[in-house]
Amino acid sequence: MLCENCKRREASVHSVTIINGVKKEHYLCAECAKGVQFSLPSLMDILSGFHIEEEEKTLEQQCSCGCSYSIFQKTGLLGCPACYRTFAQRLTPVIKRAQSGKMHHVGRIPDSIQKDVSEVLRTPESQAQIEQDEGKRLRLELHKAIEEERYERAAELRDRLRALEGESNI
Amino acid sequence: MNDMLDVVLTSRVRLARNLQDLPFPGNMAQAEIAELVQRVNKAINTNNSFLLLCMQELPEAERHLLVERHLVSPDLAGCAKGAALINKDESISILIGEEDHLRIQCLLPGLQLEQADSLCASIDDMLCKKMQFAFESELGYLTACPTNLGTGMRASVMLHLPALSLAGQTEGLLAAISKLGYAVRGLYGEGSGTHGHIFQVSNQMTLGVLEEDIISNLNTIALRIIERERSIRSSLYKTNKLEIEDIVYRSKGVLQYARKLNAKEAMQHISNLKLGAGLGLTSGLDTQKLLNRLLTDVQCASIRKRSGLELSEAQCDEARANIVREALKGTI
Repeated sequence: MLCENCKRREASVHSVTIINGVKKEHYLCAECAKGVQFSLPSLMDILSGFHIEEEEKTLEQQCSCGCSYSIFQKTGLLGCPACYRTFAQRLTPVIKRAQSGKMHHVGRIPDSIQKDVSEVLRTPESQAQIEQDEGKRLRLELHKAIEEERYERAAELRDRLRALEGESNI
Repeated sequence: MNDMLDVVLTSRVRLARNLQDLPFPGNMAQAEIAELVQRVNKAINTNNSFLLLCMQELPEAERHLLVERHLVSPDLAGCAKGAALINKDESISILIGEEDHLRIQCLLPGLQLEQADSLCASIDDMLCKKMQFAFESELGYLTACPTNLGTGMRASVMLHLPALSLAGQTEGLLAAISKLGYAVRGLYGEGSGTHGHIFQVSNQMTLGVLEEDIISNLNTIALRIIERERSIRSSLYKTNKLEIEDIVYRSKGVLQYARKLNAKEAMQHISNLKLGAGLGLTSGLDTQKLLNRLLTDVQCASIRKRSGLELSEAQCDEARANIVREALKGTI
């Protein structure tokens, strides 16, 4: 079982508190358990319910906007667009339920993103352009190297040119 | 009648949009929302084609009026934090700072879902050029509530179904609709009762569906309901001619001669008269259009606004009866 706080490490600490007949169980990893006090609550704490609140506060994950999952559970509303990432794991089943199992957007996308996408799609073209330019540059340099009788450099340039042309032929 | 005014009162499409760089309105202070209102107003209202109405500055009666006319949601009018941008013919309203930063909505008479969608899409396009919307490739447009994720689209039709109601068939039909992923509500949305046999049908799912499919499926559902309603109307009339005529003409009498009418009563009688108009029991051009408009005009805030006075309930009932009498004079 994964630690319910960090959701990354294996849980190794099991805490059970029974206060006013209400049983609460937590499964934590050793690292996260350090941050939670397991000392026995004082009588005043039990009467005021303070102990429970404090423990829950320690475990509560918050988004940078200040929203927590328990606020979402109460209001049904998230705090900001980033909450979808912060609470992704817990929101997935909620979204699935609300949207009849659908999890992938298929509708319209904003113009700005459409532009980004078309730029990405255009990459093969621009990649070919870059290669062409690179080929031109290498050929020029090769001629110059031969003229200046720098044969070692010329051989190196010839190999690079071959490699480049071989790549674009694939 | 190609826009189905005898059964469909209005078609509405709304898109929920949020700005990438701000928390959702529920998590914003009043001043931040005021700033958002200015930002949106600047982006879309360059040639003053929209009227900017800040909820905070409007008296309660005015806010009620906007709700009655379906231009503003009860939530926006109630929270008094945001604003609405409404165009001149009141077909488009942009709600700012409700549950989401923006709710672009288009409301048209009769069955005109595709037209409403394309109006919404054009406003969406204009806004999207000026501001960055919160969008993720997997989840689509991000909204404060996960029930609006993806397309952010809610399309609805307001249907007048007196025959299905009289025949006791609404429940079965509405249960079938909800199985198709479409919800049924009363005249003023969630939690409102069904008065005058008016029902609102809208899509429930917003993620993983194409906008075009939401619209066309709802259109198909609406057409099926219209067909059913019309066929029951005529068969009811065939088998219970006397009863139906009695209902229609009694209502006509009340609307033409009553001196006091409360809202519920007025709605009921207008609904009956609409049924009569659908069956050809009333003469006069554009009767359905007139009656559809009356359904809104007999609501409390509309009457108070028209009279320009603070009216008591009794005075309101009197004013309502006058408005109805005047509207029907010589037309039916």
